[in-house]
Amino acid sequence: MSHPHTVLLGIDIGGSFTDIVASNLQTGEISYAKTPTYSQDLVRSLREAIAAISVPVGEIGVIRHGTTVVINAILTRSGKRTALVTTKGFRDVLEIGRTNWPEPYNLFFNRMEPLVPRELRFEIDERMSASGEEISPVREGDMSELVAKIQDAKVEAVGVCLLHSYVDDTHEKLIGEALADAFPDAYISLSHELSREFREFERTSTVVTNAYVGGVVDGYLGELESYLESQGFSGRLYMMESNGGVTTAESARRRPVALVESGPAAGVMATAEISKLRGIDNAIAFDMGGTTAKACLVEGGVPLFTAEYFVPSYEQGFPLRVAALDILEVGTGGGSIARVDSVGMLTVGPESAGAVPGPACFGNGGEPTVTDANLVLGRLSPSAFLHGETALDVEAARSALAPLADRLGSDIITAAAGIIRLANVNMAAAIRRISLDRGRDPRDFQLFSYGGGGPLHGTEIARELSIPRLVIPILPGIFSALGMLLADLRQDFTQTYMRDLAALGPHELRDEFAALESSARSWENDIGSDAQGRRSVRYVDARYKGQEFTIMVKVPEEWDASLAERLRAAFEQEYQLRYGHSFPSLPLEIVGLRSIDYVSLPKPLVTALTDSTRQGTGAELGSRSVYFGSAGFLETPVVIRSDLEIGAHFEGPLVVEEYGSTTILGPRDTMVVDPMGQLVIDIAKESA
Amino acid sequence: MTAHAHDVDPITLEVIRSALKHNLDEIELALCRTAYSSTVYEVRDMCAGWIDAEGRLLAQGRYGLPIFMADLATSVMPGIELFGSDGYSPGDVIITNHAETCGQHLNNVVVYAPIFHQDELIAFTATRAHWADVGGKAVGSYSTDSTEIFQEGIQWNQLKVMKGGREDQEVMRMIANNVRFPDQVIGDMRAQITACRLGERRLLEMVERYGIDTLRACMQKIWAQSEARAREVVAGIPDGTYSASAFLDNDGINLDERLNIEVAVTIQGSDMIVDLTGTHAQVQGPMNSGAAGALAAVRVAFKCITAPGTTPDEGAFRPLSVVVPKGTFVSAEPPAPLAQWVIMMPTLIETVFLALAPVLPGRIPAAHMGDMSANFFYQQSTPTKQGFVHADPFPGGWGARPNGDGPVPLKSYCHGDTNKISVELEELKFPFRVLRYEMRADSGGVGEFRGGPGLDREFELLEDVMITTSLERSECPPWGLEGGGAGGAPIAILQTPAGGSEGFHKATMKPVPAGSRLLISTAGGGGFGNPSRRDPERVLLDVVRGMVTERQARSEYLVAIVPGTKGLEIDVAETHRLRAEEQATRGTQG
Repeated sequence: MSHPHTVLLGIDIGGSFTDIVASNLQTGEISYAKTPTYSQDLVRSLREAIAAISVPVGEIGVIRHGTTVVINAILTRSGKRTALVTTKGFRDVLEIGRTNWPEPYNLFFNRMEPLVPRELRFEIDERMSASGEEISPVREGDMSELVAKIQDAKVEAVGVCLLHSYVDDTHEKLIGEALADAFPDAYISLSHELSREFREFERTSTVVTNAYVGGVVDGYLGELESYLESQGFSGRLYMMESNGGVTTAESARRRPVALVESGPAAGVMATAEISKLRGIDNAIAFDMGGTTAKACLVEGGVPLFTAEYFVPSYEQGFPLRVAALDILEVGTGGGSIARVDSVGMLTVGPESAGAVPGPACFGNGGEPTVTDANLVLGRLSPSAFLHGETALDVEAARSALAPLADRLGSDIITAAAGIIRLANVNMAAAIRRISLDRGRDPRDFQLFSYGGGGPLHGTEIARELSIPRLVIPILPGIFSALGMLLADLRQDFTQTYMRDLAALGPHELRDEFAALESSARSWENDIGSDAQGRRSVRYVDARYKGQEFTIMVKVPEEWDASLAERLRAAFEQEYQLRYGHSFPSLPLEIVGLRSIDYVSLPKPLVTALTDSTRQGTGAELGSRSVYFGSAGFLETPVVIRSDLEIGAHFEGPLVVEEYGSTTILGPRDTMVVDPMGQLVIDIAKESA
Repeated sequence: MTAHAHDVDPITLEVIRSALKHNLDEIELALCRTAYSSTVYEVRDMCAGWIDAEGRLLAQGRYGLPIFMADLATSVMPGIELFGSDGYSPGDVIITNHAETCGQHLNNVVVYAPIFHQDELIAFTATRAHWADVGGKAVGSYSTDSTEIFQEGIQWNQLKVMKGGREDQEVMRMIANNVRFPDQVIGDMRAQITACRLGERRLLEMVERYGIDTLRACMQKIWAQSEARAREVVAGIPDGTYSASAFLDNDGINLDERLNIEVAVTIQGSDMIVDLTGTHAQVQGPMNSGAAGALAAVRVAFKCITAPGTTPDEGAFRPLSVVVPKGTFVSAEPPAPLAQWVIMMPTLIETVFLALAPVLPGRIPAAHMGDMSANFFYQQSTPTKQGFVHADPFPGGWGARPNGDGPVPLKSYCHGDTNKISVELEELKFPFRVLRYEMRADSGGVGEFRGGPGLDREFELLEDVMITTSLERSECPPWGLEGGGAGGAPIAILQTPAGGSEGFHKATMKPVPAGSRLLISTAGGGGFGNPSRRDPERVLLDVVRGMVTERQARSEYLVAIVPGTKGLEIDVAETHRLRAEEQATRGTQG
């Protein structure tokens, strides 16, 4: 039986909540919900989320899904028992890492234990040279010995990373085949299938993580698919990746390590898609949650991305060599705890009150947090928190803040305002960092502020950075799920490729890219009829010969004789922007190739997104007393976002309440509701 | 300074503290990214900070090497004396690596620039970076057998390379003509100048935004807080004098003479005096440091103990005074050679810890590898082939903690957050192969908590090269605490294709023919507590993992490991017997 595939679904299963957004292509209707996540029960999380929006599963054409299952498996070490195979002499690379001390002066520093302990790391006597010549072959006898050892180790997964396999994968493939024959039920992962770039520690760490979570993701997808099938689902399922695109379930099974940061990436993609629709060239995606805040630059509708990131943190964690959006995270969120140390220094975060006990105003005791400060300042309504489902206890917040105010020698209000100010300064610093590091001036960007706390802190953060315009997008509380609904298919191909630019003919580079792309387009068959055209965007990593840091330069579409010249010009321009100078006489060197394939998928209409945010005409809430720095408490009008007319103008002070979040305008800030229903706020220069 | 600390509200204070930190992050990262030598961008052998017009450290970044601990002012102060505070103009940039005032090897060049606000000199941005070469007898200006500073390179003592915003071409030529890699060196100097300019811009933005008086008042308050935080910790240590000593192998020339380091730490209330009297006299070889190096090392130790998590500033070290007589090898006088000035630092830092260990229970780990040196591979340039230098700093074992085993191999306390270069990249660029790179069995000092392992790193040379190596602490390997054993000592072993095999610790520009194998084994960390108290299950796991041999398990940990039905297991009865016997022996010894 076939159903009309009229519904697109974005579903983000996070640690505490499952966010779901559905778009009906026929009626234009958008529906959405936030439901609890049951960490041990995927099907229940799904069932309740889908039930909350009343969409028949049979009518769903496309599901784009993001999940925390991979990051959770890593953090709670609940992946599969995994072995590692390395070149002889290199089994400790995974554990030795790069021998740095990321917390200087901390005499008790420890890194996370590796996912594969030493007794499960096996060596094989083989060797390739750095240029890909065989120095020493894989011998039959050694191979059977290796298989026997892995047999004894009783593992469920094996990762393989041989030295220089990014240049020549012959030995790795040979071993991969032998392992697949010997262990048909094990999850086998080979490093060259994940990364074609040098640096053995990073590649080893990536393949180990992929193997470790492979079985977990396979099980998860199996459960997901059979549940959906049992409900009559006959559409397509795509998984959200850290690179801001989606991929097929099959590809997700092969490269589960690419799913690690799907939620944060989706929020950035929503910013990118909306900024494209609204013709905004430069945007900063800013997401403030309960524990952390995250920021990412979006230029020309394209988020900046990085080839490597660390899980769970640079300090204690390990690197993953997978394309990911270049998101900077700071330990400031609504739950961040404020403390005063023995010498009177005030800190906010990175310790968080979490969900339990939560901020003091949840009534479970505990230390004062950013949320408590927002509450006593009237910035947050005791009743409107998360759509009125949880009442907040103002008195509990005040009592928690009182001792801290004492230590600072101030009253509770001043202390609370100080906590907010410091939290904002910390978050603003993250935004400064991502822009200034690249020579960008944050004042040239519009700030998209979302997540539970983004709208609440947006105006002050923008003011701190002298960013003139702030956008509170639609559905800021479930923005990641919206981003999933808007994401395209994306696949990243990379290859280390070292050449002097001057010696490079245009056809040489074209041929290299063609070889790279054809080798990796295995997903073509899985995409199916939803795909509406594809495009490739190519970059080279380039640097001045002798320097270490590279800059990613976009490769022009046309392959002609001026290619080298144009690459050089683009490089110089970017270098100049970042560092204020460049060296036109120095030779340039290419170090790596990157090709990104995009394939468009069906998306909801913009008009549909617009209408959906206007869903009621309830009465205005009146006003409440809100604290605004030196202006003190001001009686401030409160409006409901869904009641606002498109094109309506407002001037601060103002409170805008909506599902899951609150927006505050300071005195003299002005706001207009744009055609999509977004709150576009022009920031007054001086803080009130 | 006219403003007073009490003028500052606590929130503005935090906002400014945060701005200082983030701006300095930006400045240091800009320096690293635009630098030309891997020593700067990869090893982060650099630092940046702001010094006020009176030579006090306003704040320093956190990305540089820990050894550059609050030592920028020492290099800027002599300039203020020389030029006078009215001797600087906007747009000036000054360089100095003067041995007597900087006290470090000559490669460490300070580049600094004055900052003016409304015609008043308010501060300097100062940067230090390790230049790839500053002349002298050895490539990279790095030798283990120089006997005077003049063999180690050229000294620039407070030279203005830019005057009023314009490069002085005569000075630039003089620099370029006296170094082996002028492009790299001038490139790095420009990176430092870029960082100075950025520092000027950022400090003036802060002055504009908060006002100079508020900024100054905040600095006073931040210093006062840093001081209070340190005093709180020192006051918690019982009054008294606590001593310890250690030694380095030799000075690289007189190989039979140990270099002792003597530390006496006196606690008086909230003050700490560290007296280095009795430390070995300055030496003929280049293992000397100026007094600034001794000061920096003691400051690193002080900071680890008092405030590991904060950025260094002027106030943080007010409770600390360092007494060091002139003419010791950690306070050498000209013309002593200084090429290996850092070698003593990890050991000096640890000797301070060792002295304080009995009165800081639970806070001091056993000793780490204690060696900040490196192996260098060289080829001299020929008319047909460009030469190279490859520096490879040694990671090694770290000490066990009072509550757990030592960590995986890391570089020394002095290296901080610096990355080791990947083998795949090394083999691409240099004529050698790495045959193994692994943790060294039995090298972690034994103890209830085991020391971290050292590393074995074996190279096969594909072409004729030269090496300069300086392994240290082979005779005073990383000590244990509370009954824990010392870590395994380091050694280098060279096997030539002719069949020769030779163990050594130090060598300068030693020729190594193609086909040779060079094994460098770094020290393990010291153990903590009596090894016979180590949980036998943990000993078994170490044996299964190949970190500890069955032999060491039996002889040191008194755990008998035997083959069982499912692999290795503990022979419980035998282990009981071994441990009971030891206890009895200890009992009779009283």
